[in-house]
Amino acid sequence: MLALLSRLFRRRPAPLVEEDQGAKVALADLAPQTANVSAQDDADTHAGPQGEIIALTPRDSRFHRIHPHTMALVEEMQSYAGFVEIMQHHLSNVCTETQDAAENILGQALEIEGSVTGLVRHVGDTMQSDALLDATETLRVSVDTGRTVIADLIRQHHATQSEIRESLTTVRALSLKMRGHLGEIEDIRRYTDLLAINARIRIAGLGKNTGLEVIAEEIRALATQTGGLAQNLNVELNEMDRLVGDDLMARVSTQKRSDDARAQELQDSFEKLSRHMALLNDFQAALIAEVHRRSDAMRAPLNTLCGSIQFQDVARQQLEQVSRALSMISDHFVSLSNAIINEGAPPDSSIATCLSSILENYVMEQQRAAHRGEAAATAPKIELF
Amino acid sequence: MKTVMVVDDSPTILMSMEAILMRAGYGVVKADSGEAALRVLHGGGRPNLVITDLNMHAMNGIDLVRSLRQLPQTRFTPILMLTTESSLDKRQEARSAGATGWIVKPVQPDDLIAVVKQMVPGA
Repeated sequence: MLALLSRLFRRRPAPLVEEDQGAKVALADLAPQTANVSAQDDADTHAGPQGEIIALTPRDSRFHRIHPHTMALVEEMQSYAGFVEIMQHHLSNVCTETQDAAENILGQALEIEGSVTGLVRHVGDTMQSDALLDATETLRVSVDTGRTVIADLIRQHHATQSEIRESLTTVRALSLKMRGHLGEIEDIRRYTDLLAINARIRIAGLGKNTGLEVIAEEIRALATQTGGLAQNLNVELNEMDRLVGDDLMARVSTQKRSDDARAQELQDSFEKLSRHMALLNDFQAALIAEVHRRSDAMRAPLNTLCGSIQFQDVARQQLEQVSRALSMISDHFVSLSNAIINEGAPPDSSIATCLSSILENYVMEQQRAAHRGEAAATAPKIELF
Repeated sequence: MKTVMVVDDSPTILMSMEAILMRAGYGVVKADSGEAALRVLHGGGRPNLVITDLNMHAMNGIDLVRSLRQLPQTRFTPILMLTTESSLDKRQEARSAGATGWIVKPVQPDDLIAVVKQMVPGA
């Protein structure tokens, strides 16, 4: 610290002890421990009877006495310059660091915003991209087409089932009709049989070898043959009725129930697909809306941050004012110490003048108010001329 | 796109102003001194609005306003002073030099944008 103070102190030109137009003795050379033997250029210095510092000027032999204690105080006052310089250095560091921090915070925040904005744009673009819209539309059309096709198939199936049932009913009706015809055939057989019996009776009355026995026999054979045929037809009709009525109708009914159940399942699947597609569309729209909403919500605090970050510039200006004030105080101390060394009049500017000058240089109302110990006045922050 | 020129020797203010204005849909030209602003304008820049700091190291804001009023492309361009300075004398000086308005830092972005939109509608 001492080394630094010494270094900073040397930055300022060493105040000189001047005696009229005479020699100049550097203040640094007048330190109490060295004053007794120091000399510079054509001047000479030596210790007085009481140990005081005496600076002699060769031309007019006038000398100037400074007590060592006074000299120590002067040196102490002069060293304030180094102290102030260190403080100013710290203030400068604070300004630089807050400047860097503010830029960093704002930069990071804007980068985050940029990323979020990019993400929002990407989500929006993707959700509303031609490819996705085409795929969604294609899927919707496919589902609609599927539903229509399934409905048509079911309708056609029902129609076919109905036609089959109608055909089977017709077959059963024909079967009944044929049974009616069979009855008529049976009647004819019975009648033919009676005719054959009657013929044989008449033949018997006419006697043998009339040749009519053959006809009677043929009629009887015809009746027998017709009866056999009718019986066969009856058996076959019964079998057909069984096949149509019991087997085919039962199978058609069972198949219809099974087909109806499957068709219903298929229809339900398409309905679900359609509903889920609608849900997906709703989710998609909700997602886009939520992403936009949150993006907008993020903008508000970022906007506030952009406003708040201006504190750094305001703080920097206040610190610059403090730094200027420190310089002023430092210069004032130098002036005071020079006045002591030169036994001259006090410097023109008093500390009150310094304070007044500082007050005039403030740019912020709160600085002026704080300086005066008053509450800050409320001037309009925005004024359009 | 409407363009706003921001003149300030504080990088923090330039960054924050750029972010606020761009978010509101304005194009932004930044200059870190009055001289830099004049160079941009001499190079053909035609901003729709100028926002300038008052206390800058070389050319101060009021001198810049006077210079801008001499240039044909900014003779009638609105100029807002954005500054920590709050004294009435300075405001009057800026007004006499040709400034259009006075805004004290720090300013809320919404308030700033409201004024900017008033000066430059239709961003």
